[in-house]
Amino acid sequence: MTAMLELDQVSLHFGGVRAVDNLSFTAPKGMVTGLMGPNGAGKTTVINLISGLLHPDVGSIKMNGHEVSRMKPHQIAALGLARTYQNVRLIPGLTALEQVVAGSYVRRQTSMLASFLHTPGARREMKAMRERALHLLDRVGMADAADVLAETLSYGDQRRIEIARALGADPVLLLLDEPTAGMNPQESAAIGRLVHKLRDEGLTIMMVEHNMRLVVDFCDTVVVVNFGQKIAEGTPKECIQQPQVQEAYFGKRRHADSLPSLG
Amino acid sequence: MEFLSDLWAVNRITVAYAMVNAFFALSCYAVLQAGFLSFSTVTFAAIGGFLGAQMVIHGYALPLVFLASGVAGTVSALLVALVFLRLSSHWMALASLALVLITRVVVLNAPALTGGVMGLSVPMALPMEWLTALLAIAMICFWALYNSWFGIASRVLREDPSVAACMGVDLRKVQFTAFGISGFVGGLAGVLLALLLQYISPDTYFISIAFTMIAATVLGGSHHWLGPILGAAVYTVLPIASQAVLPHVQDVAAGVVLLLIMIFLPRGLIDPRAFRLRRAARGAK
Repeated sequence: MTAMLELDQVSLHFGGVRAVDNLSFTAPKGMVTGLMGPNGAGKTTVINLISGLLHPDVGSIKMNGHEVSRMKPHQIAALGLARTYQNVRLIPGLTALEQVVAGSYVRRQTSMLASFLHTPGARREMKAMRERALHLLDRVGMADAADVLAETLSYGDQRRIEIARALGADPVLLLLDEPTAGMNPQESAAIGRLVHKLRDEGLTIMMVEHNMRLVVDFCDTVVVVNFGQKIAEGTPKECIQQPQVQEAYFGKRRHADSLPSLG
Repeated sequence: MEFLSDLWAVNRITVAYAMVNAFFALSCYAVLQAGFLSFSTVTFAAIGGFLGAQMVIHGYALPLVFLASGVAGTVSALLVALVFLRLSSHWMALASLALVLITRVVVLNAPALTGGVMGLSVPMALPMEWLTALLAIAMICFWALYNSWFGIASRVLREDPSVAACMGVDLRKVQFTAFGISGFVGGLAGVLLALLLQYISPDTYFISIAFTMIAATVLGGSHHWLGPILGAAVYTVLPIASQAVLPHVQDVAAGVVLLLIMIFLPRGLIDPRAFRLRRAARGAK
């Protein structure tokens, strides 16, 4: 089992706050890795470190064998990383289709000059990209909304378009930051099934997820963090049964026991 | 017939001004579409303008003059970008304003090249055919840019730089290119203005032209290449029209119209997003 993503003793401090503290884990190739943790545990910081928006103070991050901890985001994207955001970040003014075409930017073959001159090759490529984008929208169940201004769609639909946009880059590793936030159980399950299908096609996925049901049903392996540190790693069932994980999510038992005395 | 030719004679100069202002506004738009408010177009125009004026005085052919001014604008823009891209956006706007002030001082103190306080007379009028042809070429180029990968990348970069970076957009490369384009168009705008006025001085490339180009771009809309061109036309024609209609309060009238446009169309006269939103609203009915 080879690793697609390998974090080794990664730390990042914001002033006195240890956002990520000596964190090590691996995300195996061709699997769905869940990143769990209570609010403020540092999950999004980890995602930002991997995608290059932040750089660790110390430690190494390897993606597909490349050391990426000092690289710029666009260089990491070129190595095959694509991501979505916790608070959907689509581009205002663009239709759903245009969002996905923009997401394919890193896959373009034509040079800036050829693209400017609208050479036959560049026009063919743009046409192919649009067709591909339409296909990707179809995969996330949004083909009907291709020509709709993305910002006018519901939150859940915007999330799905954001996933299609990330797939536009044809990545080897896909980071999903809370892909089902704001979705109902049916919509969430549909995202889970899509994630499984993508995994079966060979894509490695890492997702931040709060929904325990989804983590248990759709993640192959899980890393649990709290206060920037890893507190558990393994299969989802193992992890959520561990006392330190339950404590992080629900608080200490003795605190709960002492609750009635407050009243 | 005579009436028509009179009308054209009166308005010809206004149309020419609107077209030259369109070049200034396009140069401003070129950097604005990559997310930067910069007044440095004025500097590129001064460099292109004085170089072009000297070349005309020394008898060079017009096409060569236009090309040289554009290239000089590009070179200066890339040098400026080298420094400016280290600043965050608000500071860049201020720094570019400082650059405009510095430009005037430099122009004043290099009389051998610029004529100093006396300025330069340009012994050639701007042929309308050239101006029209150049604007047509510029429009085709901006259309092509808008629909290219560069256009796509810059639209994403302008709205959300981190998203653009994670999509694989090399931010620095796009920003440098935007400055380069702004420089070429700005240099060209400078020499066109010189030929239109037939006299340039340190005050030609100063605050008032900076204000004109920003107002035209904001007014017309900075989210589509047609915006600055339309904005320049409106901004140039408006004072003249208000003088004809309301001669006593022309400045007030022009100001009120500008204010109304800014209040009701904050993203400018041409805004693809508003257009699509309206279309979507119609479709929903």
